[in-house]
Amino acid sequence: MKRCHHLCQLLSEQSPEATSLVFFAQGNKIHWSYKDLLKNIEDFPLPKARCVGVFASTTVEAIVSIFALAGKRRIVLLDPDSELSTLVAQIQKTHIGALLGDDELAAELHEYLDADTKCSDVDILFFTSGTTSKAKAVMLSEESLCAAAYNGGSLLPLRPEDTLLSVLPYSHVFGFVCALLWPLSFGCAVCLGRGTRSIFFDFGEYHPTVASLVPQMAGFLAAKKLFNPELRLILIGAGTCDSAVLNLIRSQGIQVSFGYGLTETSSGVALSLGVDPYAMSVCPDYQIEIAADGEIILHGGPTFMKGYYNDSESTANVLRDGALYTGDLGRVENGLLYITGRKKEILVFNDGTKLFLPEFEGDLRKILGQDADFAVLQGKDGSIILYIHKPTGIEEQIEKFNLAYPRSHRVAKIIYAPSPLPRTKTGKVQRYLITTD
Amino acid sequence: MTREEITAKIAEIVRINLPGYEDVPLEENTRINNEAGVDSMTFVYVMCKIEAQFGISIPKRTWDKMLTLGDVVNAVEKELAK
Repeated sequence: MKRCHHLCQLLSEQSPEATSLVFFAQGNKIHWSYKDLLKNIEDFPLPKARCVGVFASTTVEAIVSIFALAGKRRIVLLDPDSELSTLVAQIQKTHIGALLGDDELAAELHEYLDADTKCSDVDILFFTSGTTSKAKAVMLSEESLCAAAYNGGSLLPLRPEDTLLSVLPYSHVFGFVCALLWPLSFGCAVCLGRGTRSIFFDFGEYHPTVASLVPQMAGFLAAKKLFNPELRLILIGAGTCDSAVLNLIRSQGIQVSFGYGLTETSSGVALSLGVDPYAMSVCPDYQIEIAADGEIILHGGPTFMKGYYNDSESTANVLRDGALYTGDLGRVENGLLYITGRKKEILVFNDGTKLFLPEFEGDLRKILGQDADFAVLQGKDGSIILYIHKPTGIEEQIEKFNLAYPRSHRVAKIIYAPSPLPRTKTGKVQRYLITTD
Repeated sequence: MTREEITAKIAEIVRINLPGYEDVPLEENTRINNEAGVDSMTFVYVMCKIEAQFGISIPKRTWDKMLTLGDVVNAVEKELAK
């Protein structure tokens, strides 16, 4: 199975009447068979534009668009819940010529489209950390995404009778691979979440047996006891997860598997399968090397990205001689991979999002002044701490600053440092010397 | 429904659902941001509770702009007036 279309064709031949997607339309619950899914993909009218942006929420329209366009157009997956300014930057950066999936939003953004884009590639682009001009688009192929689903599935197989609740946007590679391609590759039914407001009720409505969630969602839903009794497995990924959350879920009789992967690797690299959620088995096809400084280097992955879109310098920093430098720190013990931290200047949040620190600190410097002496740190609960020596009395400025950022990316706490921040000879803040307890 | 009644209902929902606000006097200028354990998921949950209480739907794009309890009251008033 190298392509989404092939996957649907295969399943449509093997089990034409088996349920592929379950979703709500105008208040009615609809079941599509694999035959229905294939027919809708094949009947989909392709737009003339060579580069198409798809608002990739968990809708049947988004899935059909993506599967129909894959291999025929360049696709850019967009999160419709992003700030308009972010969407504009992403449209302009990737020269999108047409938008699908949300007519109202598409009309609002129409003036930013580039109808004359002449691209010949058929890559699928996912945006990763960075919100504006520095946002990076990762170029993946349909084949690498399908390979990632197979790779993960070989370690953590599903049963054809499983139903998976899909609530993560497909603009996030974890959502696309682990909440869509992974269950489809086993012929399972995928229940489409009804959006942010309904996530608290989707488990009770669909009665899934499996769900793929980011840590924050998993922890919140477990604490509120919103999981249905049929749920047997939760795959958690796209961020670090506290052991208390994992224990809480397990105490409800649900198996938890924890996944490690990057957008640059089309998602899953390693998965925990045993009792220890942090001891991860490496997916087939990968060899792991731990560099002298502890960085995890991946070799041999058929799921590696082609590169960052129009950013050869950043690509060369990450992809070197066929190896992918992850920027994550880890160790290998008894053949199992343990993640121990991050080397890159990127904060990863438990809602699956990332923040590129130099860009964020640059924005802060614009309001705090060029002489400001500060560092942005991440607290144990994942929240952002602004550790600052000067200037002081900045609460109101930060409050206004926060409004420009999504909730998880806001400064939650300001700590005034009694003395100047420790720095290297080149002026770089030595974060590891700062304690905030 | 008066503004005071709306505020009282919202304050009750906040007090029940937001950790750290159980014993805090809640007024219109009380900050509801991501301190005191109000992460994005918790905030969404509270907003859903508020929407259900008043039978309204507040545009999601405005959620992140809400800073204080008064901001939420303003949004509810605006939707109720429609």
